[in-house]
Amino acid sequence: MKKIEAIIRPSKLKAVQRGLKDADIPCITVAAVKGTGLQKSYSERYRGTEQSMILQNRVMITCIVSDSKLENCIDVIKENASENKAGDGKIFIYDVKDAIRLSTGVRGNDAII
Amino acid sequence: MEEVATITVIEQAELISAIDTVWVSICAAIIFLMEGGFALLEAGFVRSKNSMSIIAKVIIDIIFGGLAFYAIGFGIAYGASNGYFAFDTGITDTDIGLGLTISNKLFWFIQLGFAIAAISIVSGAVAERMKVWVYALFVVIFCAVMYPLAANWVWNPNGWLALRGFNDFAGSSAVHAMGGFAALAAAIVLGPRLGKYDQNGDPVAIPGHNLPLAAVGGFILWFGWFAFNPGSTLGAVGNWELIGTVATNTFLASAAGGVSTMLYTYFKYGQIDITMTINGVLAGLVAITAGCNIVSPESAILIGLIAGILVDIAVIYIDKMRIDDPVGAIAVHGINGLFGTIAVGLFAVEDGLFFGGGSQLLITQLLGVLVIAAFSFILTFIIMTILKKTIGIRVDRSEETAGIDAVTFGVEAYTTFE
Repeated sequence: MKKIEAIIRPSKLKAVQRGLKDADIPCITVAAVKGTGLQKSYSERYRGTEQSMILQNRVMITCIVSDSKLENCIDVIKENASENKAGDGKIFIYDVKDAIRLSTGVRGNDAII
Repeated sequence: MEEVATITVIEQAELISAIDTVWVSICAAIIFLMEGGFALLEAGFVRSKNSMSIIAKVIIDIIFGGLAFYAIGFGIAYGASNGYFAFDTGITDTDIGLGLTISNKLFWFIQLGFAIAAISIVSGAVAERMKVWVYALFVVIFCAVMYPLAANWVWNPNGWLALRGFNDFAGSSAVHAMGGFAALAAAIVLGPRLGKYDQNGDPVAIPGHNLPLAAVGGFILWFGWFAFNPGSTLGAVGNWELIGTVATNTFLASAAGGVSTMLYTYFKYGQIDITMTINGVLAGLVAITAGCNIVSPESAILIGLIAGILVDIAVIYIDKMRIDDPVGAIAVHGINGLFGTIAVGLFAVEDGLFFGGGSQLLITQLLGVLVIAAFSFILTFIIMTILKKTIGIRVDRSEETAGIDAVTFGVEAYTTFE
């Protein structure tokens, strides 16, 4: 069981969500995040005063998948979220010890789909 | 026959009063709504952790300021004046001397809108760092004594500026310069918000947390101005031409103020600055408020264009002077109140310098607005300094960091869960 944390452009969220659903990975948790990576630093102006080091808006998708679906999930996110440019985002993979579905109490792989 | 004629005359007077009462009470209610505009504009321009505290401050402007203006302020402004002040309490029953066709009470109510508008200018400049009860105390002093003195000089029929022919139709000086320069003094004594300036003393942007909200506030103020200025006719009967002139000039100046700010920020920064454009519109409104009754539409546009540029320069300059004004109140109301009052002496159709009227009106306008600005600045500076040295005017560091909403009011503007 793996946890996938994908930080992507907000404009790509719908496409990634659709792709994951089509790949039979419908369960995701999404958070709006701000951050910076390798893309060029970015500044704004607020009432005449320049603001440097503005953090970019990104979306973080978290989903927990069984080991067998991991590569498929990564492919779907890569396919739908990349523009082949700096600033596209990153994917992180973590091991997950267990999962429990609250409604039924089922544990393990059965709890995540 | 004679009896019938008498009845007719009485009925005509009744009719005039009725029409004027409808006009003024509608305008007064719309002016009152401008407080909502101030509240939203200021709430949007501050950080979310202090957004409820700024709304509390505007409510204080209305409730504390309103009662103070009833109990003492109105008597000082519109009682029997010796030219500088009057001693009266409550709302006088006697003729104020302005040829009013409305009741003194309704006149008080529309004037209340002016008084609380003046103090609401200050609430923006002291945002995010002033103690709430000390602010309430200043509100009472301002609405009971300070603003009424300026109103006495400018609008009381015996006021020394009124007698000199000073023209401030709806308050560029008595409301806006008065409020704006009090705001300047208060912001100086308070000092900037934590983190507003870096180690080198350069200004750091502290962006407002909800700019659409600030824009809504700007729109409400803009709307309210079409009661603030035309309502200052204090009567509709016989004023239909004047009301048209005032409303048109008010709009033209505001639009021109917005245009010049848009163009200025676009060419200076490469992008239009929308929040500054809101300030530019308001700057045009403030600047035309003094002269909207006696300038031509073309002059109103010119006044607005200048006001829109002035506010951009003033915001940057005030920032550089290490005076922290989160909402731009000093630049909008102080600087343009000053400019708008002086502009009357330049652009007035009959007595303006540019229209061959000589310099007499210009000198009167300059004198009046400089005295009011200096009076407001000096008195506020003294009062704030005394309060600072005695009870303290600024929230402590930990409260300023955590946010006034949470510490003083125990409330969060936006509860995140559910």
